[in-house]
Amino acid sequence: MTAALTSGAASLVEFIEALTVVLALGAARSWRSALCGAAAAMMLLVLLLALFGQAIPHLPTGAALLGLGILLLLFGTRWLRKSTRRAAGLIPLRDEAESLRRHTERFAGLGARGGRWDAPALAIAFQATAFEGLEVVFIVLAVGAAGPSALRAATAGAGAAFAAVCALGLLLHGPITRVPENSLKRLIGAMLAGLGTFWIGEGAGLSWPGEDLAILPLGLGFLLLSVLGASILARGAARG
Amino acid sequence: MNFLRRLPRQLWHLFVDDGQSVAILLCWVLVACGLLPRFALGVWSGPILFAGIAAITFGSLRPRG
Repeated sequence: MTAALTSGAASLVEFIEALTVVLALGAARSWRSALCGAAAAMMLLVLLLALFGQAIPHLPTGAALLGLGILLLLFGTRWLRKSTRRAAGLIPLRDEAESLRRHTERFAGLGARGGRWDAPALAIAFQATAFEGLEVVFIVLAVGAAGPSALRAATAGAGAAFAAVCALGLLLHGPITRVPENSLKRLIGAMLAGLGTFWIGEGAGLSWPGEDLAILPLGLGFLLLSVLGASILARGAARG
Repeated sequence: MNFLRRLPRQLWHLFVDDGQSVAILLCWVLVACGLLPRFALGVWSGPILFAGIAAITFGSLRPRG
């Protein structure tokens, strides 16, 4: 359940960002090319997930836990840093409506459209979906590395997030602006950093009070650190 | 081709946004994983690893420059 929720919430954020680019390409260039580019990228991501998902259970446990733990920690702390700075007002919050407007303007200026297929729209939709989706693949694999059932749950969570974003995109015919992206990123960043720290410890043979139950307090510890950090940074910024 | 050219950079930025903080974090992880198992710290070896990581992460929240 935790694997599905973590992977689903993280995937939601990434798919929303990809949807904004695809919507801008569709409106400014060609719906057919934008959708086909995004679909091709999704096929590549599913292939990567299947390939690496098969390999993970065969890795040596200690080394795999340590390696995945380090990657998860770096990934989680990167999200935590960015979302904390946004929460503190040091960098602007992401605005999907504004992002759609800017992207549409830029894509419209890319030159004349081709006939049936628009090469720039196809390529940009493919790249945007693939690069945002790489983060989803990593999260699903990392969260699902705990075992086959965790991997299934994490994949299901990401699949549900993808379906939800597609459905909302079709329904709204516009960007998804009401999801609290930064709060989600902050929460997921903290949970991934907590999970990464736990796995590093497990891989190195360290012990935790409460064993597996330590993951939740670790995630909460990172979240607390982010809340405290944002408040200090915001006060510092207000003082100038 | 453009996708393949950009892929290594994108993968790098998936994990590294602040090279200095990441380097310090990795140093601490290596030192802690090498040294902590040698001491009889019981269940506190994990929390000591976390304390170091938390301190480094907290210090890296302020943007550089």
